[in-house]
Amino acid sequence: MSNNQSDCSVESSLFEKRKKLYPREVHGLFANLRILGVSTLLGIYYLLPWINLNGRQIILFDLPERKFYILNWIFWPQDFIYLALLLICAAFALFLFTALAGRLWCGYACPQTVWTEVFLWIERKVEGSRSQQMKLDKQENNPVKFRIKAKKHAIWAVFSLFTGFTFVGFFTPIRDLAPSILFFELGPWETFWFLFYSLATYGNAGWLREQVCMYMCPYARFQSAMLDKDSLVISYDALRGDPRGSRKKSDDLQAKKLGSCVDCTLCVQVCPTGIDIRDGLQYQCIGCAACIDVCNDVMDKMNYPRNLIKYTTENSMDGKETTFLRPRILIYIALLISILSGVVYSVETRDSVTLNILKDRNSLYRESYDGTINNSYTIKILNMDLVDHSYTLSVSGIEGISSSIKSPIHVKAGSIIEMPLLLSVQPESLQSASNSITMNLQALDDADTTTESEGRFIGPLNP
Amino acid sequence: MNLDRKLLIIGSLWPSFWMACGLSGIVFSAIDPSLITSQIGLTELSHLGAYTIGFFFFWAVCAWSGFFSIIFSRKAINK
Ligand code: SF4
Ligand code: SF4
Repeated sequence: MSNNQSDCSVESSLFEKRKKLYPREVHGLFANLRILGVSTLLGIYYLLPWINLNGRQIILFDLPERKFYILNWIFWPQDFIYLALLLICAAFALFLFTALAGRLWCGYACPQTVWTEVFLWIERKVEGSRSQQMKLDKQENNPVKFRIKAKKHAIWAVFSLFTGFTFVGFFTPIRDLAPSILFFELGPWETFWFLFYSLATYGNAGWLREQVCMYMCPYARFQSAMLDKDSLVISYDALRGDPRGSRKKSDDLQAKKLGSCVDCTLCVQVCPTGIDIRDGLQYQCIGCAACIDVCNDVMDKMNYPRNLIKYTTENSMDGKETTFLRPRILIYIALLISILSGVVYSVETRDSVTLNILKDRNSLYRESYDGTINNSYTIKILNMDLVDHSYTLSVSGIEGISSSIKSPIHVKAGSIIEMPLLLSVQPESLQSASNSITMNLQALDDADTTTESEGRFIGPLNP
Repeated sequence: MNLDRKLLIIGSLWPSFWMACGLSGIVFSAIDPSLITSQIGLTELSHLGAYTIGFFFFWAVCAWSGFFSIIFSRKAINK
């Protein structure tokens, strides 16, 4: 389908009033895989902030302190490059999986799918099956309908609020957050994000659902560019299925000139985006495989071979061979592995301490009564390690240079300290007006924790 | 709501939301937004508040530009 065509159809369907969809419940291999995906991802989302490591939340984006704690690492603002690289890795992983397996992400792992799945499940538990839901919606307003609808929305709302609470728990320690919500002591901005995210969940998963995939998702729009003839897509085997038509189990298909499709429309009823996969590949298809599961059930009941709708590739539909390891896949894998290993290596080997030297701008140098030349500085030490350290500071570059700082300097884990420093030299040691010096910071308890910084020492023009 | 208006709203608010997320990440890793808010007199504002205002500021600016892009491109197409 050309982009133009798809854009036109998006626009015209936006124009129509949205018809509410009632996706039918489905069981089978892919439904089970989706439940597995959904529960794993939701489990990670809801449990992660409650897990502590070394007395600290395992993932915490501490905005006030401007530190991100992820597993055993602390990321500072200057480490933004790592996060950017990790995001690039995530994008490459998405490209790779799309090229290999089509919209695997959409069908099994996208938050929109995951939360919609939970909301649909709640809806089915409260309102009943697809036909019961349709019947209920057709009824005039009455107390029973109101009670059922109110119950559904109340459960959705509680679930959304819990989701919003968990979201804020990634930014504010969740164990402090829980009591402050219970006692209505949440700060105004936390309250804002708590309600904002809850509302977004409620709106996206409860109301917008497939419309997010169809009209709002950028990935859905450009994923077709990542697919090729060897990517897995879900497709109906028209050669085998057509001509469609209802029949009895005992009918002779050849005599009746029928294909395998019994035209039960179950594949349309289970589709969360409401499309008919038998019309060919469509951009609305999120690759959830619900239609495969339900059609396989029908085939089993009819004693026909399975897989009338199946995961396949364009090449295999054309009777050609499918190659999985093609150049673009190998390039994606190579890029992914090299960026990822580069990030891990550089995070693991980055300095766990930094030393910044700022020369006092008010005076170039000062001469004391005994002739010593003094320069003053401010130094900043940032301990990026997870444990406290004591450091010694040594200065070299000029013979006999002495420092005002008495070692050791104690800096707490993940903290920064700032202190004044006065360096003094005898005038005869100075070679020129501006001399380069090196400061070395060395942790007392760990030989590998060390850093160096360059600075300048200014003296009189003719020393 | 008619199509034009619906597309205008979604088209300006939605992509700009993602732009605002990206911009907040890049800009706020270099600058602490509470330094800016305290400069303009909002000294009482918490850190989270400063980040929030920054995020919505980016969102508004991007949405504004998206809004006009849509309006102008429509005018150009209609001509
Ligand atoms: S579920 Fe299978 S048999 Fe039924 S209409 Fe769809 S393709 Fe045909
Ligand atoms: S066509 Fe099938 S795979 Fe695609 S969205 Fe509908 S049910 Fe899911």
